[in-house]
Amino acid sequence: MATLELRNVSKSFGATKVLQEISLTLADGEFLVLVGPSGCGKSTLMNIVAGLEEPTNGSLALEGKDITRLAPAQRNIAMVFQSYALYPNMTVSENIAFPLEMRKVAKGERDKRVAEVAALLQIEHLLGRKPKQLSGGQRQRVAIGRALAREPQLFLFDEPLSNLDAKLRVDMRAEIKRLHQRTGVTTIYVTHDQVEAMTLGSRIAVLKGGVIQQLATPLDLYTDPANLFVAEFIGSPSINQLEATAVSADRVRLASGTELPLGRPHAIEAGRKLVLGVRPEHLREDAAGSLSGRVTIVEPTGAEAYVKADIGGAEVCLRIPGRVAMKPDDPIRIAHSPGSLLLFDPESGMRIR
Amino acid sequence: MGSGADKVSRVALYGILIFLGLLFVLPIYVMGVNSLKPLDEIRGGNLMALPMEWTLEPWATAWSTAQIGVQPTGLKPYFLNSFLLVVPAVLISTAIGAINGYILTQFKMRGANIVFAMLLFSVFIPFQIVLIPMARTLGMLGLAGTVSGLVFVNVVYGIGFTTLFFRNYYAAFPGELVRSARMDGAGFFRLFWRILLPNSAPIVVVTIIWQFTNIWNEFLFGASFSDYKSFPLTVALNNLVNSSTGVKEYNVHFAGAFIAAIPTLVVYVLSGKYFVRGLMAGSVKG
Amino acid sequence: MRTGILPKLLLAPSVLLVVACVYGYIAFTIYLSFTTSTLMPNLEWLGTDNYTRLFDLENWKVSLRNLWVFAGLFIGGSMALGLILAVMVDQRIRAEGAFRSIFLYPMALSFIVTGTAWKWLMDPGIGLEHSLREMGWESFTFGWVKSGEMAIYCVVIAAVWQTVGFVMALFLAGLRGVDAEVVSAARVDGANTWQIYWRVIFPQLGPAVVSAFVILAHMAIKSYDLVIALTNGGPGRSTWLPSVFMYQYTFTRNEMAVGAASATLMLAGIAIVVLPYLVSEYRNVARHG
Repeated sequence: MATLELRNVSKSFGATKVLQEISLTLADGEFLVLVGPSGCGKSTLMNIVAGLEEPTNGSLALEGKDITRLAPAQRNIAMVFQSYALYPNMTVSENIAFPLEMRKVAKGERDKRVAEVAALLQIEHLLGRKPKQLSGGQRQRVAIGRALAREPQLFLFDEPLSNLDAKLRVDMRAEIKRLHQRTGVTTIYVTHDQVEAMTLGSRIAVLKGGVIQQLATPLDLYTDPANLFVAEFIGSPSINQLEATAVSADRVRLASGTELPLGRPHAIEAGRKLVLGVRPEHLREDAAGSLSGRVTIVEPTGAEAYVKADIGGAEVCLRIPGRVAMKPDDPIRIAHSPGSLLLFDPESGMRIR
Repeated sequence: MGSGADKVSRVALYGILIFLGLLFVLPIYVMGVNSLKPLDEIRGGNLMALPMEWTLEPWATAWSTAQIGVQPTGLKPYFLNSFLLVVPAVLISTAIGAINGYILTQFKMRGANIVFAMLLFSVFIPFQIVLIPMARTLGMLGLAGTVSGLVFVNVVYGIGFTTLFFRNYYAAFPGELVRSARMDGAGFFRLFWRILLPNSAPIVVVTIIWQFTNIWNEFLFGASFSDYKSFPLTVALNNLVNSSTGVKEYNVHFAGAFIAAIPTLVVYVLSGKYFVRGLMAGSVKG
Repeated sequence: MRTGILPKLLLAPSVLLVVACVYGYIAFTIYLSFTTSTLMPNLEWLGTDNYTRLFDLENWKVSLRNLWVFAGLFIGGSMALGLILAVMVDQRIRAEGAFRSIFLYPMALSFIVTGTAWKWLMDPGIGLEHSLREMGWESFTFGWVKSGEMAIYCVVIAAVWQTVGFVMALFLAGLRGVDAEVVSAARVDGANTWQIYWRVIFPQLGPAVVSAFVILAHMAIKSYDLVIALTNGGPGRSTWLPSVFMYQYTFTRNEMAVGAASATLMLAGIAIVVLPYLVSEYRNVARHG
């Protein structure tokens, strides 16, 4: 258990800058999720923390101690890999004991810890098996067990659930959360799945193009995104985006001519081009709504329905609880929750507050 | 499926396949049956016929009394030479290939591609191009005309193949396993011994079989760098068959050829799958 | 991984050996081909005279002409027969494994062994001719191996027999590598088996054909053992190949410089065939890997 501090960590391969000046600090026991599309640099950042790659610039400190130049084995960090990386020639218990053996932990102590970990993860019955005799979920547990057995100061997870089927993924997600709550080990978790990010992280860092776009708690990220990329990346269905023009500091006009109140003044001057973002659940069908259009698609999912509507050349999505009676081509009027509109600069994508 | 025309073509297909199969078996069949006949039966009879009088005499002669060069020693001492050549040459070249493949794939270093390209091309060179200087080198090292000299030569010119095999295998080795082991604390040798090598059984088998077959069957180096005491079996067999003196004992030649064929044939029958994989790996580069 | 001194140290002996015993020796042999070496190597510079002499030698002309005939028929024969075998074996036949093993087993044998078997099998005195006449086909004649004109074709037959299984295996792997869904699509589109092979499958065998060609061509240039065992270069010099020429001139006729010149040309021939192939394969690997 420890704090981790990254200072201005950069990584380039030749002329390609994979990571640019990443600085962040993890508090003791924190669960940080690194999220972003593929190629955003999240795996490289993870490898740098693990010691598998060296940063081009910058430094890392674990519990206040500089670890930038330490080999992976010398850092007290454990990692769970996407493919689980179980050694196929060793049994489950040998796999779990391997990092201990490398650290010259005595046999008796090794056996004891293997037993503890196996009990914690309920894999005692698997200890004698080889990895290829295990199911995906079982392999996942063993991989976590191997990382746990080391009693590391820091846990790294590299997309650990992406090889599991949907149902198992949900179970394992809860399992990982429970495990973290129980052990309290500082954790970095890489994923490209925003649901995993939202449900697991105490904070989330959204990465794109080697730059941290925003570092915040899940809910802040959702309700108060720093830019259009974050707003778009987090949330499903995706946030609605409408072209708009500022009328005054607290009023905008859509391309269709409809004017909408913002509820509070923003840093905009009249005539400025904007992108208006509004989450699907902040729109509702309302006969008194100021937006009018026609229903194009209705997608019921059971608990709720996604209704898509054409409002004068732009399409918006509404998230409506329960059953809906609407059909395509029905006329619809839409209202938005007050204060739910987010403004972005169309050029830079930056949030305008 | 199942129409009349289909059946006819199916029968024709099997007919052709069986005919070709027999054609392919013919030489080894001829070798076999005629090594078990008395000489008269070959001269007067039919090479394809089974022996009328079965005899192991030709095998005994080929093994222990046939004239090889000047001595009536039979093939026995040369069979032994080939074993003394093949076992160390295969083990050494395989071990070197494994280490090279490990280093070339798991460690970034400048010039690794050039090293690999040089090894790769060395697999194709005609050995005539190295015969003269190698003969001089063996002479200077005092290895001319010895089995050790042949071990050395076969190791040197086998490294290209063995490195190629292991490099390609380890290039496809799951990177996460290696990274995981490094995080768990495994160093250079431990990573190799505990993680890579235990998961290399297929390529080790392929390489050993490939090297065994190649070196056992090798002729040019044997003919160039050995003398009558250190001939490998292929050279001794060629001397037996092509020595122009005396009566041609065809049955003894066939027995001798069969003796030389048995080790690689046994390996092929027991592990043909790996032999084919070696052939394929040797032909599809990179 | 960060590279310490250890990996370099362990790789060094191999690199040194290959640099010295492959590339150093190649350089040395090429140099010798420009010297006055006879029985023993000597470093006195002569220039290109050895090459001029080489091309004037009837023995070299015969060797080269034989190589063309041999290589052409060996490569063409192995590829054609190999493809036919591969297609036949690909027809979901029974005992496929047994057939494959039978077609491939000669590859496991020494050319000296198979050369011996073919030598006597094709010998008119005791072999096929004799046997078939014994069986009642009185007029059957097959004495190629004793004829200066025809003996080289005997070498071709034995070489194709030995190698065709390998080509079959290469092509079979290529055939099996064709996406089954593409074949199904062609079937749905109305193509018959024959059309599927010619229009859909064979065009995708390009890489296998190139591999087979390169490997067979380099084997042809290197061929030595089989000729020695089967005909020993004879009758006369009628089945000499450059490899036989090189050995004869270097080690028995004491014309080492001419031998070195012939070896250099063999290397050049192989380089012409192999280098473009390796370069393109290697590029592909660099791109995909």
